[in-house]
Amino acid sequence: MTDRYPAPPEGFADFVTARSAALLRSAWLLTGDAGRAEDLLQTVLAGAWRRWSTVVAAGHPEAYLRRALFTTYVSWWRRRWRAEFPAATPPEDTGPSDLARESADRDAVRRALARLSRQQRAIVVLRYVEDPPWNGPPRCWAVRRTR
Amino acid sequence: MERTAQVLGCSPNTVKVQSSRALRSLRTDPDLSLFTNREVVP
Repeated sequence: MTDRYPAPPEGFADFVTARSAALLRSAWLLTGDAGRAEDLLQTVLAGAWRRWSTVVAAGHPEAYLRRALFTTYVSWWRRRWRAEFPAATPPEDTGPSDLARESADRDAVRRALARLSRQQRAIVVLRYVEDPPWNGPPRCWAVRRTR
Repeated sequence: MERTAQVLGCSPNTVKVQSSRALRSLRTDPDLSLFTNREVVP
């Protein structure tokens, strides 16, 4: 941190340390790409930084961030984001190695998700990954929309 | 479902329609056919 930047607001750094890995995972499911997932998360975190006291006052920073992640993703129409990846060739037979199979699985899921529309992908991730019906009452969606 | 609608700012009906379309295309997705013969642990 240099003098050019103000210190992060109280609690922000701790929140990022604790929760950014989980948020990044959601961002990856949405974007299907590590670089763009980081981009998306950075954007959302930057917004939260600027409004951190409001975010905290709303009662559940993670819920705020997750909502921002999805809405930003759905509405982000910058040119480079339009570069969706169409179906590539299926992965080659990766043999018996678990690691290889895992990576092929990841790839298959990523490419299958990439064929959905942006809105459909967000809906699938929200309904079945973030808040799966078998997981009982949701923990982090209990906050009203604050915008 | 209502929460999903709330988060995305669309109607619950949109969520319903779009998620069933999404699931239908995932179900027939060639890339995901490699999962169909495998046990899936939730």
